[in-house]
Order: sequence, then structure tokens, then C-alpha cells
Amino acid sequence: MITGGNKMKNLKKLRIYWILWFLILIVSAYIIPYQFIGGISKITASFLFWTVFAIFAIISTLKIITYWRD
Amino acid sequence: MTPFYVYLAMFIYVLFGTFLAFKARRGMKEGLLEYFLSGRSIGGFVAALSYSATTYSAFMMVGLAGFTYSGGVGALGFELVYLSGLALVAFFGPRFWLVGEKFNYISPYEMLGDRYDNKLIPLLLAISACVFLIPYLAVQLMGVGYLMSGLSNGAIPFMMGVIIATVVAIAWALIAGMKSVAWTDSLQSLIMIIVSVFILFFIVYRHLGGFANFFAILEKDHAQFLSVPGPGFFNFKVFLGLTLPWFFFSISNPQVSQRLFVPKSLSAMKTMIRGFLGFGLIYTLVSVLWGFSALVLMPGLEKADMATPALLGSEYVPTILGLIAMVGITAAAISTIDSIMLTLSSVVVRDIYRNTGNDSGNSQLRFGKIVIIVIALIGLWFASKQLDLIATLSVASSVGLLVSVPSIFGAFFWKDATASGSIWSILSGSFIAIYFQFAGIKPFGYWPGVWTLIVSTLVFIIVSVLTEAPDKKASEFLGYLNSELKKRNIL
Repeated sequence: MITGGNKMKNLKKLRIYWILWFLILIVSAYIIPYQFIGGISKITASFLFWTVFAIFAIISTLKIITYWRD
Repeated sequence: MTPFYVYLAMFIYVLFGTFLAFKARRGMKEGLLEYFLSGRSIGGFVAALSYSATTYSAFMMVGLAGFTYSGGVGALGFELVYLSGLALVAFFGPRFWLVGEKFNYISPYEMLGDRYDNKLIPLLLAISACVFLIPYLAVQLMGVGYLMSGLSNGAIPFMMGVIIATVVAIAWALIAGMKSVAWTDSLQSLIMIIVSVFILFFIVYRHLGGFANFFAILEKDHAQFLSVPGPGFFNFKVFLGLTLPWFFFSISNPQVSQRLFVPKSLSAMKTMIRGFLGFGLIYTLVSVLWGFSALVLMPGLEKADMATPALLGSEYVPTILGLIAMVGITAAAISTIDSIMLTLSSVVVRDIYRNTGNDSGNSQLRFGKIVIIVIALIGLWFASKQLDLIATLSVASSVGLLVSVPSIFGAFFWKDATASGSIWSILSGSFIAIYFQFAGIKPFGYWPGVWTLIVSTLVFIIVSVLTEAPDKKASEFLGYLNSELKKRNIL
């Protein structure tokens, strides 16, 4: 059985993991186009990368809100 | 295009919107909460559409398309970094919603004032919101003026479009407050998305030979626009300077953060977030691709902001589609204008007027309705002047509103945060935002938004450490919140 205190700790831990994941994701939106693929003049380079980045961010946000209970 | 068709298209749009606004009024109850927040009872679907329409203004199909036209793919990165900032709503959304209901907050600044047990904080933030958002509103009004004038080849005077937009926004905000704003927003968001997708597909399939061919032309003839930093505008410092303030838009801009108070349940808030994220991704891609299509079809325009008006007025777009596009862009502008007017009115009423001893709900409501008209008239006056100052303040709005961000984080995540920390953070951040923006100061090449965030955050932390926190209020606020978060499994 999960006690109240443990549940709070679990939520906090989960929150930290998600925040770290978002930090990595957001930093990637700056680093990857500006350091690695920016020079490639193809639709499959920065255009595709930023679109995929946004889809990852959207899916992650949707995942976080599925935890909520009314 | 003859003025008659432009007026006719506007008339049909306004007629439908006004019908909806009056329909929203039916069954409306009395009181401030009902007027400003629709009684915290908005369903998920309407909340999603309304949030989308409020967030996305005429900037998308005109300004963002123009950014793409002149700066290339960096415009996509900029707008999608903003969209990823919606992750903040996954953390702050339910927190705003829970304390909003428990402590009966109407304005987001009222919430901060109560949390820090200080009346100066909401007053300062209310003033800053008016200073930055009224010019932003004026720019939207000007957008409608330019669009109607441009599409009629100057036959419709600029001020006619501005006046029509002002009157419509006042009416839709006054008829049933948040409820009429949310309902008309829903109609407008549907117009925005359907129209923009349809016209993009028309251009791409009729004139560019489909998407594969469109991308092939881009790679062959405009390769530089697909690279980063591209033709020059989007260097790293510009990109950071633009994206940082916008990343925090969902909590820093009161007209959208106030929307976190209105869903009728957590499920409705989930639907709102899901709907907005889908809308945002599509609308962003469409606006950027629209800018690229203008680049391919009409290269060499002097002003990038003219990319959309020029394309709409060209032989590539039939008259009827040009008119429909005008309605779509007008809808984007008006849905942002009336939401800003309503939110600023609630902020002035709750954070300024109420604190001068006016506790009666009826008198606040009466005053709020007058404020809506006054704000609209100030916006109209600003728009009529077409001053450079307005554009500068409008650009500075996302930077200026950043000053509330450290206080918002502190309110929810740092028990020892203090009122003095918040006040000095707001004052120092506002000083940097305004001074750097107007004087054109960019230390080490970094834009004012970056410095505003750094200074206001550092000042907030340092002053909070050195001063006394409002322990009793912090315990009450965070104690309630933590028990509810645990119960509802919110991260």
C-alpha cells in the first residue's frame, strides 16, 4: 500500500524526471539546428527536426496530463 | 477587389459572431465571476477553441509568414519552441485552477497578491499589463485596418477597418463577458484553421504542383531558407531573444493564464490542452508553409510583412478565397483583441479599483464594463496614430510581461519566496525590459528578453532570501494545494 507521504515523494520524483526530460528536449531545439544540422539545406533537416521536436513535446505534455484524476 | 465584397464578407462574419454572442447571453447569471470567468464552467471543447483563438493573433498568418519569407525555417523553430512551452500548463494549469476555485481568484495577479499577502504586487502587474498589452491590442486593430484597406486597393480607408474591429470587439466582450468571448472565439478559431488550411492546400496544389514539388522547389531555388541561421535574420542570439519570452507566454500573458481558471473540471482542462496543442501544431505549420509559398511565388518583396497581403491580392488567389482569408485573419485579430480587453478590465477592476476600497461586486462589474470601452478607445486612438512607439511596445510586450514569471514560479514552488522579492523582481525586470528595448541595448549581443529574465529571477531569489516570507499565507496556500495535488495525482 502506498502511504500519503510516499505518494507525495513519488509524484515529486516523477515531476523531476519530467522536468529533466523537458530540459533536454528544449535544449535540443537550440543545439541541434544551430550546432549540427543547420548547414543542411533540406526540408528533411531543421524543418523536419523542429516538427519532430514539437511532436515529442506535445506527446510528453499529453502524457503528463493523463496522470490527473478528477 | 471592390469595397462592396470586402464589406459583405465582414458583414456576414460579424452577423454570425453577434448571433452567437447573444446566444451565449441566454441563461447567463449575475455577478463578477459569471462575467469575467463564465462562472468557471466552460467545457473542454469550447475552452480549447477559445484558448487557441486568444493565443494566436493576426501575427501568425501575417507576421510569422513574413518572418518565414525573410528569415527562413528559423521562424518554424521559433513558433514551435513557443508551442513546447505549453508543457508549463501541464504543471501550472491545475495549480491555477485549484487555487482559483478555492480562494475565488478572478485575475491571475489577484492570486499573486493574495499568495504573497501584498497589495502592491497586483497593482504593479496590472499597470505593466496595461502598458504592454494595449499597444499589442492596437497593433491587432491596425492589422484589420491594413488588411481591409489593402484588399480594396485603398478604397476602404484604414480607419474604417480599425473602427469596425474596435466596435465588434467591444460588443462581443460586453454582450456576455467571458461567455460571449469564448463562444465567438470558438467560431473564430474554426474559421482561422479551416480557412488557412484550405487556402494553403489551394495554393500548393493549384500553383506549386503539390507538397513534394513545393519542397523540391524550395530546396532548389531557396536552399538558404531551409538552413539555420538561414539568410541572416535568425542567428542564435536573435533566436534565443525571440523564443525565451515566448516560451513563458502561457503563464506570463494574463489573457491566456486567466483561461486556466475557467474550465469546469480537470477533465475539461485536459481537453483544452489537447485541443490547443493539435490546433497550435497545425496552425504553425500552415503559417510557415504559407510564408514559404509566398517566397516561391512572389520573391523579392521589399517588406516581408507584405508577403501575405501581396499573395492574397495576387492572381494566384481568386477573389472569393482572398475574402475568406481576410475573414480568417480578422477573426484571429478580433478573438485576441476582445480577450485582452476583457482580461485587462478584470485586472483593472480586481487589482486596482477594488484595492481603493470598492468591495461591492455590482460596482466592480459596472466599472469593469466602462473599463472595456475605455481600453478599446485607447487602443483605437493608438492605432489611429500609427506611431512607431506602438510597434516597439507591442514587440516589447512579451518581454515586459516576463517580469511576472519568477513570482509565479515562486508562488507555487518556493515557500520562502517573499513579497519584497516579487516587488523588486517586477520593478527591476520592468526597468530592464523598457530601458533596453527603447535604448536598443543588447549586452554581449543578447536581446532584452534574456536580460529581463536573468535580472528579475536573480533579484527575486536574492531579495527573497534576505527578507521575511508570509509564512501563514504560504502555508495556507501551499498546504491546500499539496493535499489536492496528491489527491488528484498531479505532478
